Amino acid sequence: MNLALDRLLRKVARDASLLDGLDADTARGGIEEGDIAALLARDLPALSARGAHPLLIMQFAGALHIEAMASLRREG
Amino acid sequence: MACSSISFVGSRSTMAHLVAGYATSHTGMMIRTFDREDPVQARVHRAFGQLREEIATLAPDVIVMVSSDHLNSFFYDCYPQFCVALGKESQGWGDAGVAARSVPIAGDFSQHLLECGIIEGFDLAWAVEPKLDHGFLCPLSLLTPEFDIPVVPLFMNSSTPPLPTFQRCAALGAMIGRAIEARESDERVVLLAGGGLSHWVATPEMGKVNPVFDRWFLDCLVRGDLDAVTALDTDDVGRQAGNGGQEIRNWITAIAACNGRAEVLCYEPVTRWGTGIALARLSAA
Repeated sequence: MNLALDRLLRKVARDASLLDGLDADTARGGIEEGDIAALLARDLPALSARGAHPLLIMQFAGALHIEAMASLRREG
Repeated sequence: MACSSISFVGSRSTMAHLVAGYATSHTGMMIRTFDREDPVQARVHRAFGQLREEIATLAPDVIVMVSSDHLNSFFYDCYPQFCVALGKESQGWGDAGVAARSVPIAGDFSQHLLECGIIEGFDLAWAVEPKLDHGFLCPLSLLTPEFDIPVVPLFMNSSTPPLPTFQRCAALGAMIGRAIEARESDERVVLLAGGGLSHWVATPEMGKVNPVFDRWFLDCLVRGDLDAVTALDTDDVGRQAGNGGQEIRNWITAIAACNGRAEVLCYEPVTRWGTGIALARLSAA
């Protein structure tokens, strides 16, 4: 479990505009730069690889209109 | 002490009656991306239509529904393994492409279930009018589109480790069955499970379906071989049926409540929906 990433992921899934103000400098509360980078890149395989909860990845994908199946299978 | 054993203390002339049990998959893609021209998808929707008519004919007073939240209503600050919804009405999340609707809650029945659980060693969590996501709303939208039948939503943790064992789920189901029998009312009860079968969520295998596992699982239920499915190991199910396949817990709970067998009405490994889609009628042996 990547608790810090999951917490942030859940917030972004509920308010995608939070992504706009997110950069490496905003990394707080144990959120690693790689987590932030994966979020900003909307990189679902990277989020998965970094331990994000699959259901939160799906919520994130839904909020940002990313086709999860295509994105994950293409990269996977 | 079994719940049913205390229910006979005092006088009563009626008892609730389990009139039918059903289990269906609950992926929102069945609604969100339904292609009417696709014969496989059309067969799935025809099966839902058949069940919709069957349930309407049964005219149940209550639906006890076992399904799963998808980290919408619950999160790490408080995450129940099993949770019963109380109150009068819950709202839908409107997630996964399934429209948000108001769902009437059979709060008095929910309270009864909680109390029976306590007596039988299931200290179930409870929540007042929690929102319901597609795990509940997708099957209900397809089966009871008027949303006019009160529901007892029972949330099952099928997604976030540690997951309850399959044996524990079956024991929970047996308790639910006894709680229905012990209910002092003339309510006609339908049991409904939502979830599964094999699917991989947000992993590189997403879109894969394992019909071999799905058919084995369904065959066990048709034979009434609950021992075979409760002997499953969580990690092994993850490997064979995907992380989404853990939702077979909901089916196991429901068939244990019915104490019986399944009749498969439809099984289609729908790769476009990335899920082994199944509908089954559950009945007492």
